[in-house]
Amino acid sequence: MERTHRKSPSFLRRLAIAVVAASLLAAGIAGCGDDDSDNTVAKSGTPAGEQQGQAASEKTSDHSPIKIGVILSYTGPFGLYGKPMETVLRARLAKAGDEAGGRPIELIFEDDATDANSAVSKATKLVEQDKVAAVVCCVGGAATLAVGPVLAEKKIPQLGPIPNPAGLEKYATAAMAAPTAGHDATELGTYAAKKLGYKTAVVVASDFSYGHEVADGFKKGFTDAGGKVVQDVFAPLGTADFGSYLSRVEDADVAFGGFAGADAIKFVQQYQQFGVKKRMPLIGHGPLVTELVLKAIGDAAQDVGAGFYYSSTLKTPDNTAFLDALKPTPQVIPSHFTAGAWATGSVLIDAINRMKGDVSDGLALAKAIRATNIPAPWGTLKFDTSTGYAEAPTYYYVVKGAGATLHHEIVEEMS
Amino acid sequence: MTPAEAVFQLLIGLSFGLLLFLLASGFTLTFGLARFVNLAHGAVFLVAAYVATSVGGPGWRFVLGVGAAAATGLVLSVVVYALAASRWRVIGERTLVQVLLTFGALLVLADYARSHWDGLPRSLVAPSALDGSWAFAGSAFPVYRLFMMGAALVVAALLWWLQERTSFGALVRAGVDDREMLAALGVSTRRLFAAVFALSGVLAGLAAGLGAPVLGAAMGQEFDILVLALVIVVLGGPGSLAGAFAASLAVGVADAYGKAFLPSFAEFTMMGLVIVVLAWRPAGLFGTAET
Amino acid sequence: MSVRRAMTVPRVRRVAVVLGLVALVAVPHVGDAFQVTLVVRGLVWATLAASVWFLLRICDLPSLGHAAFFGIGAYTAGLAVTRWQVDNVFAALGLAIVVTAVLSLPIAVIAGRLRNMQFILVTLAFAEMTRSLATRWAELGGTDGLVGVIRPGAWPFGLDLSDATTYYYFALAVLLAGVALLVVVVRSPFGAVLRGIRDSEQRVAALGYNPLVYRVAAFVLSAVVAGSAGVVHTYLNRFANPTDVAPLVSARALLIVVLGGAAIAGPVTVAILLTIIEDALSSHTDRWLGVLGALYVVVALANGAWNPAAWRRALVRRRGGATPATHAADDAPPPPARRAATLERTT
Repeated sequence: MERTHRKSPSFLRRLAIAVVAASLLAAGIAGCGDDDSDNTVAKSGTPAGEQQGQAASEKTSDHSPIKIGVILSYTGPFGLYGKPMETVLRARLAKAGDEAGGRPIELIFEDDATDANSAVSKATKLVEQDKVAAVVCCVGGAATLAVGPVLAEKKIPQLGPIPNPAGLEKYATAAMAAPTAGHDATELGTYAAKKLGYKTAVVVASDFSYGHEVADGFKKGFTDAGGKVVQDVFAPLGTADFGSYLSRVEDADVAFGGFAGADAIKFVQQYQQFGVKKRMPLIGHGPLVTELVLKAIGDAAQDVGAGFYYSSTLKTPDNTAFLDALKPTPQVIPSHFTAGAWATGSVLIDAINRMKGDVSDGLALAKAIRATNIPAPWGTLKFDTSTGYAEAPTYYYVVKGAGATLHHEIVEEMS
Repeated sequence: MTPAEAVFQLLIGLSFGLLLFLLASGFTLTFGLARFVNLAHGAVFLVAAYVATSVGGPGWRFVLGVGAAAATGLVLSVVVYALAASRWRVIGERTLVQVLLTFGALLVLADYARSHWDGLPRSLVAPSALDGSWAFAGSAFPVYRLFMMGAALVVAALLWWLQERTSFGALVRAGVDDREMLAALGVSTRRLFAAVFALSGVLAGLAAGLGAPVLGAAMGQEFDILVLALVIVVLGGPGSLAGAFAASLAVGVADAYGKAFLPSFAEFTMMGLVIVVLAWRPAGLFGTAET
Repeated sequence: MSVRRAMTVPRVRRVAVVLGLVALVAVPHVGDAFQVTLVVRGLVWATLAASVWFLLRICDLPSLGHAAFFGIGAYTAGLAVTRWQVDNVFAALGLAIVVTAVLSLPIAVIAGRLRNMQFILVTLAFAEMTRSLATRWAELGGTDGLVGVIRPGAWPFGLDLSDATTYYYFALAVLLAGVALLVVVVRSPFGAVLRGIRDSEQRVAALGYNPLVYRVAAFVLSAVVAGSAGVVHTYLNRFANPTDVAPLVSARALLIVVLGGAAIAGPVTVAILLTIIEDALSSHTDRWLGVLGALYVVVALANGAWNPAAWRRALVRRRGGATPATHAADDAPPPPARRAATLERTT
């Protein structure tokens, strides 16, 4: 018991040390704050302070830079997407002379570490400290949904670069430059039943939001068009070994695979190794055999079919321009992530041009973004003005070639 | 479930379990002997797997890939030990400092892998001779899995021989049971520990290389592999190779049956096993009471 | 007792305590809206770290599963406003505390019998199962998380929690209440038994105390504080997500405690500082995790030098005072005779 008494002084002493540190920390924060507001003044030429104050001073004649915040994943499971998307977005703006609406564009990139909490924090930072006019966000569905209400409250437009889940319709500030994954999977389901002539299907998908979204979409499209889904199996995200699932898959006319990333590689490889490919063909939503995983899968990907809004083998004029722009950076693989970053840049430039550089009204800018109708690598990019989700063509393609020549061969546009 | 199906799932489970043994046996040795919690083990695996996928290739280059992975594992593991050994008097005694040191090393290694290989998931295709399937029980079993099982069994047999039949193994066994005795015998614990860390790294590298056609290399593995290794070490009892072997096979088989017959609960199989075993035998399947 | 303390604690340190608290209170007046919310994040981590600190330093139980309780608190807070129409933050907090306590009890009973690595692993296993549940339970929104959360009212106080400054003080209040609760418990007779169990379980058991009962109670108390941190977390971000239950959350909380040293003020300070450092680093380089890892390695290697307890002992010796007994054993290598038992002992 006496220990309790003797301990007290040392506890307080340590508390004291810590609290001194806390004071320093508080001083540090205050210091940082001053630095940052100084920077804001220097860069934008507007008085620091309330956003409204800054906004009011931005007139059409203003030649100060327009700041655009970009939240991507550079670390964590989606860390592979951040750097290439940044490179492409920069290349797209460079092509337009780094300006739009007569004003220079300044991009501010932030890492959300594949974590929705960080995405919200970074969005707050971009809005409160950097006073950005719009935020491009995010790579992960959870992050995109989490940031939605934050930006809506601040009346700052949010532009999603890749397919994102439904759920942002209620925010007038949100616009997604790609169709939802569920949309493309539904189209594929319909196509599989009507054009490919499959009567029965099994669905094997990743047991997280994306997997369920594409599985549900495919099932809906397939059953509505008269097909029958005989079995559905969901495997946890990051499954090391699909053998046990694959050996239990029932016979059907076709199998639908809903996997992405490292899981897609293992699934498509093991689909062949466990002999299921001999029993029935494999089709899936685009990410199953996207350019990012195709070479890693190897010849096991041959003849796998996919329904998606983008493939690097599309022959649209804007896709050619996009692929040309990638030539100086051969390490960047063309995929729907980087093509999405390209299209996002196009949307921003177009919308700001139409606003003649006046981005002071976030809601007006958001409306201008939704009114965009421009060429994108996958064809025409326009938004459903009531939901904010992009309307895009959906293609059916099949993997052909072998080894280093593996590629998508476009069959036709499904819708 | 027909008997043939049961045997088929057993094979899948055993092949995965043997791979688990390779990646966890090194961890159990360093933990059992040096009482060192090497959280960097998962990142050593990750970097070795990436090395295997970049050095390896079709045909004989597959062997090159596996060898490079083992060499990578050896070097990284020894570096981690060298870091710890520089202040072993403090770090060797304090688990939480080990946690801090090796978690830091894990972040550094994983960040290196992410930036060097662009975070892309990669794979190593098995040599064409091993790339086929073997028709069995109305399904097909990949030939490579059989090869992997054989290779893992050979490594396990070598480990057993090393531990039971060599003076090195005798020292390790003595050290696991009673570290004070090593000092009393006048053995240089530093050199012995370095050797065990090197062995641990080689085993992780071999697991990464041999497992590359199945597991590939991808970010996130640094944590997944670490959790698997922790599960097996604690289930099997720290320092016990026999325990790690039994625990690996048990986890592998439970995982396979869970996925095949209770797919909705597959995620809970492994952690459920951990809770049941620890609630029943806190020291692990083969552990001694004092741990 | 208070008189004795007043005489033994140097005035300068008491001034520092006041200054530190003033600094924390002053944050909303000197920082912009982002900086204030960033420090709120730090306060959330500080609350979580305090709960892990209690188990580790007082009970010698290193938990790698506190993300489970953090997540249970977070999801309860989210469900309270999205499903159960609870429009009062204190009611939601109380609800989360009850739910966390009830759900942590069976875990505590199983984990309380284990020590060291076994304890680490079993807590990790429970947290992983909780995460799987959060990921798979459609009601909870799966990996997209529980969205549409709004900050509830604060009756009977006329507070508007949607205001950043008000929310900051709410978060600070939860942290201080949690820390005060833990400190009071540590200094109570109950806490003395806990420390007795930590230092010599047999002796305390021989005195007729049941160590398991005490460990279970301590575990549940710690879980409840972690759950409260989850509540503040959810209302801050206005969603709950399975990443809140990820092993990295548990690992980070444990690391903060390891970095922070033996006293509770350590983890609290480190949590706030680390949150700010991580944010600044990640804005400057995408290699920030590597930089952070290198930092951990350096701190671990400098551990002999980074030893506040040793400084304190030196200080006390210089003053001719007695060495504080309680935590001295934590920081010094154990004597050889105790080594076998303390090989995996947390220090």
